[in-house]
Amino acid sequence: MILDKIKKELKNRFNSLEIFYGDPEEKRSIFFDIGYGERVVLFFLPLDTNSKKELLIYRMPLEVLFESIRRFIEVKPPVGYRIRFFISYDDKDKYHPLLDHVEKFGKNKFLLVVNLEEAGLGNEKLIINNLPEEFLLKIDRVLKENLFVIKKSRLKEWALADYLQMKVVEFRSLPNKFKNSVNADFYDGKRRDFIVMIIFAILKRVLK
Amino acid sequence: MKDLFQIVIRSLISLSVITTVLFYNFDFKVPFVILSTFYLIQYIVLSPFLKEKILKYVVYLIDYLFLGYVVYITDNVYLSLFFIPFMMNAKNKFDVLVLSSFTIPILLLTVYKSGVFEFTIIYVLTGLILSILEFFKSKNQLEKKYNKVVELSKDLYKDNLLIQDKMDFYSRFYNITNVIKRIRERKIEPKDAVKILYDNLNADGVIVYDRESDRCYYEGNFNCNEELIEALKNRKVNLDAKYVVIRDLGHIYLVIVYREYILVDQELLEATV
Repeated sequence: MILDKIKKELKNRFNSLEIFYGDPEEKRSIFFDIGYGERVVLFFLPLDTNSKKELLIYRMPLEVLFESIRRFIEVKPPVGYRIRFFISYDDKDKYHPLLDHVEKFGKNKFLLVVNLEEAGLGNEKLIINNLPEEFLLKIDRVLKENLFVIKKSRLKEWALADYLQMKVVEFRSLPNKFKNSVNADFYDGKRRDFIVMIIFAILKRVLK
Repeated sequence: MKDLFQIVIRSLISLSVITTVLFYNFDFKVPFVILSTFYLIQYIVLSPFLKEKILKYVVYLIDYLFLGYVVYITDNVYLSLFFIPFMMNAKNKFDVLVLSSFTIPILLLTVYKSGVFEFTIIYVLTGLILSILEFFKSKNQLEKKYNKVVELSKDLYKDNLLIQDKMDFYSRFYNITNVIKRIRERKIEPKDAVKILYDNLNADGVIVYDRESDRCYYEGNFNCNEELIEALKNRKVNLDAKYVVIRDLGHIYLVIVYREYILVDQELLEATV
């Protein structure tokens, strides 16, 4: 249901997109590509029963996703790699559709996974689990050059990067008591643009 | 939901017209049944116009014309009371002006039809209109208040996030300084101290070696074996990690190990250890 609504909203905003189901039988995920090339950068947005329409935890990452699609279509298309947007909905394990998808296409194809799960909720921290040395130092340099103030943290118990065994750029709003209950009226365009700018700086400078 | 409500009101109007035509002794029964069904269908067809700025008044004009015609032909005065749900659709003062200018001729018609000497209906209807206007006034005030509260709470949410961040930092800071102080005063067992330090730092491993009892405790990915203890005694530790912080706290050696290439807890470590 939620995926169908998102599909409609995407078609309303961007006419030219061709949207596919990740697994046509169960319909747990949708994906679509922008640009050409063999290597893929994957923007990932997982949804489950917690993500309700009137809450910020559903609205904000979706707006970050829309804004990044708009930039890729209207401002500058990706060069040298292709961007894949992947949205999944699963009640039990919301990361499982991504694991299936990645194993189906082969892990070598994917340069980077960007997890937008808690992006834009405030108090974001960049998660540095399982990132190789060169990549991490490059990210650090990019953030310092562009004067982005964002703290880094390491998750001890569970992280998507350890689950997939891939490079994952991930934002978590870590000390945030109200993240599951804040209303969608608290939507703030500045915070969305901040996260999108960080992601685009990383894509532009690090993946070369 | 709101569109469904509007369609229900129009179907009520057409139903009431049909019942008045059928149950009272009226000459043109079939044409009025057809007219009222036609009215319902034209509303459903024209309903997208309600979202336009000026075209929505065309829809309301058709509604009022139909009401006036039906009241004039059938002599059923109570049908004119359906102007109330139409007036409820007004969203600003201009809407109220236009819709009330549509209503006044129909009310005059009903006064004429019900006998000119029946003046009570005028006071009843003016009372109704006044109560509707008051409803809109209070609704606008409530909306303004709600917007103010939302803006205020947005600012409070931003401040709250900053404060939560600082609270997190200072609680960690307090825990770590407290543990180190207690180790120096020998008031805490090294076993507990390791756990507290590992919980409050983002480190890959924390190792504590007690020189007096020759015991070693660890938490995380790095074991303390004999080689490490000997290296600690000589102060030359070689671990497979980027950052290794070694401190001598009286009778205890404290080792904090980071495998990542960026020191996450730089602020905390500079301030405390």
